[in-house]
Amino acid sequence: MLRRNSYIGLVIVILLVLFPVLPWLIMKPLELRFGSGAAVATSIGQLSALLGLAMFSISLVLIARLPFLEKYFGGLDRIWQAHRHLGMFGFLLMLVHPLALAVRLVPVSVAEAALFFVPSFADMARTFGIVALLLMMGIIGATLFAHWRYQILLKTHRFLGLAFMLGVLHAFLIPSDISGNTVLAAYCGMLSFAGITAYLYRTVFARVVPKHSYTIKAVKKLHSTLTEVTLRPTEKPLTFKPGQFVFVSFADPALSKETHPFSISSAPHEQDLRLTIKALGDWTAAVGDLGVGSKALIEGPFGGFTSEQGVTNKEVWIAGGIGITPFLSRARALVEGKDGQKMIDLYYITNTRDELVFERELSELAMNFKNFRLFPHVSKEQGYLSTNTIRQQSGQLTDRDVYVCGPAGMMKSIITQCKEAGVASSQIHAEEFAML
Amino acid sequence: MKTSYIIGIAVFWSVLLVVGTAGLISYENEKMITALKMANADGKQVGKVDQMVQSAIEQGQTLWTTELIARHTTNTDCWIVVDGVIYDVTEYIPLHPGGSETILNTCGTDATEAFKTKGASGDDHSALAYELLARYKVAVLGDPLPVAVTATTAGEVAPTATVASSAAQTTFVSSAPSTPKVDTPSLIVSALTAAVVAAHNTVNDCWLIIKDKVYDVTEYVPFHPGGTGAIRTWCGKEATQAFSTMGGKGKNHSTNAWKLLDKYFVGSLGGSVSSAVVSTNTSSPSTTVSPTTDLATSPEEAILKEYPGATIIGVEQEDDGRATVKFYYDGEKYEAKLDAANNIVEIDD
Repeated sequence: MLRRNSYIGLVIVILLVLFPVLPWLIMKPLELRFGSGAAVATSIGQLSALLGLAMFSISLVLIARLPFLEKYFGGLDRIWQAHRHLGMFGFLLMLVHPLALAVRLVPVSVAEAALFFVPSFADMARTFGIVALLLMMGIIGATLFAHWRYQILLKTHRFLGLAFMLGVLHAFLIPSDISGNTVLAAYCGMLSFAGITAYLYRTVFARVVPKHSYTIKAVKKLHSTLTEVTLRPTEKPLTFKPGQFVFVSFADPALSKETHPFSISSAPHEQDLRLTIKALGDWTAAVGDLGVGSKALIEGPFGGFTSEQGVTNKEVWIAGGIGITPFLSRARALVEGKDGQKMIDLYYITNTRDELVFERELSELAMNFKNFRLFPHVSKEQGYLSTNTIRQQSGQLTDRDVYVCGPAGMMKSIITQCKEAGVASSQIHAEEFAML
Repeated sequence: MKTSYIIGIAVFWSVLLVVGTAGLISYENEKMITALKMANADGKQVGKVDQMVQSAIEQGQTLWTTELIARHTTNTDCWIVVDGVIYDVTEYIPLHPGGSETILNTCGTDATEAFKTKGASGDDHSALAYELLARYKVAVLGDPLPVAVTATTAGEVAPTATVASSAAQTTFVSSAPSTPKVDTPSLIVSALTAAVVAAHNTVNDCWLIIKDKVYDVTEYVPFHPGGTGAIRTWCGKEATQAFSTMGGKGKNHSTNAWKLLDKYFVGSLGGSVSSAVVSTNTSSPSTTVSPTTDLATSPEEAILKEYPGATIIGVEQEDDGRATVKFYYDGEKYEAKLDAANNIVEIDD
């Protein structure tokens, strides 16, 4: 599961988050920090806010899709993961923050502790904090539980940036250790500035994000729910590695101008870029109505689900349904001589036989390349694919790299089974494509 | 992810619910305690005597001055001055939202400027903060030093000194003590001018002029339904307009409110008022002016002699002259039994 160099980003994030604890610890005698129950509660309240602020700031920078960050995390999906975990952890700390500060007031006055949560116009700094926290609760709750359309969820989720700005306002207006210490003020100012800048870059100033310009050359329905869109570059084409994905938006009357991520299914040597899109929602269902000649804007490429992650020269690819797309790109790139010396077994899993849309193309490739073998698997007929079945056909898995892409449940099951079968973490590669 | 969220939210709102409910229940109760503490804080003028103050008294000093607070500069003993009032904020240091060292930096000094600007941010503290501060009141700068102690050192001069210094206060002389032994009627009766009222301009010492009458509403400030802040602006000022329009909202206060106001009547503007009256009215009831004779003439007096600054909440007098007195002293509740000659024979807490 570990991707090359992926720990560098995590280590940097942890250091950045923990750094402010240092000036916080040395700016005052420890007795004042932990000398009494009230002091400890105050310290917990302050630390949780300090760490939470750092986590939110970094989390915003991570989600800005900055290409240069990818190599330190092992792919955009990993960055997203870090974004989610930092965000959630930061949020939990933000919940602790007012609780600790209110609880310390209880010995003096319970009413005072209760009033601590009541917003007032006389104390705007505190009120900003309260509003920010309530916004976070609502938006994060909606993100996790609401069954809204993906794009609506995304738009809602983006309002967390506003909650963050309110929180920053709160942090700098309220008299605290941040306002009282230059090092802390400078550090937190820097982090939150980075966070806000990253946020504005992705929202208000989204136009300045560099994108590649393409036009639609063909739209082909491959199956009732599967459409292939072929795109021709109008200027310099994008350079990518097989297995990577892009964000695309179309200027076409058939579709709203939303941006969606898709794996590239064509190989790098092809002149055109092909995206294979499954109808999973309203927008993806309408992709079949796209008109030839319409403009497309592409941002990317992203992702670390590439052959470079491999540590052995024997690979098992496991594709569930639409999860075939990154493998399509890699298989099609075999013609270029890529992965030529690798032994590759592709398990192509679908629910029904008619969904095995690429079976013919892939088996032709398998005939031309001896090292590449195809094992189609229809779940409705053969049951779920287990590592036992894989071992029967491919032999031991422990000396192989396992690449898996597909529905979340399937990936989880395969990964667990692989680990149980003794495959090292460094040999298991999964495309964590679940966003939000 | 979902589980963390649910647990986090559940814990947060449960704690909030518990604290909120408890706060609501204890709110009325705490108001009373605040009032009692404030009453007691005035009592501390007599009660809170440290060595520094003691020696100052022995040297013949009769008024609270800034020098007396200058030694309370540590995190275990921190006094500050805000708006001419001395506070012992030691207890509050670790609780200060703005950090404990911001308070520590001002210990032993006049922190008015710092308090009103929150250090550097330029914002005044909230009304809530002022209420909290009031709980830690020790004395008013320029007020007379403890009488009981003065009595032991300066003998029969004490009562006069007290009255004289109170007079000094009403005529807005709050710096170094003047000649305390002056015993002329002119000082005992002082004119109630706008300038005199203007000296009582904080929430912890708040006089208002309404329709040419002077009221000392200090005691009422924390209970004001319109908030402390609404009154604070008018302390020491002509407030007729503000009172009859509820601070510009155009609504007059209720008849009941006007009646309540009467309770705090000090005197008519331009008239003269006995300094003794002023002194009793300046929110330090019953203590400062009590003559220190050897024999207590009432149970209350006996208690106050023994427990200076106590707030008496009830006296039950028996037919044979014995009495039971309930009172608060230093935040604790006590019950004392006295014999017919007003000697304390038993004390329970």
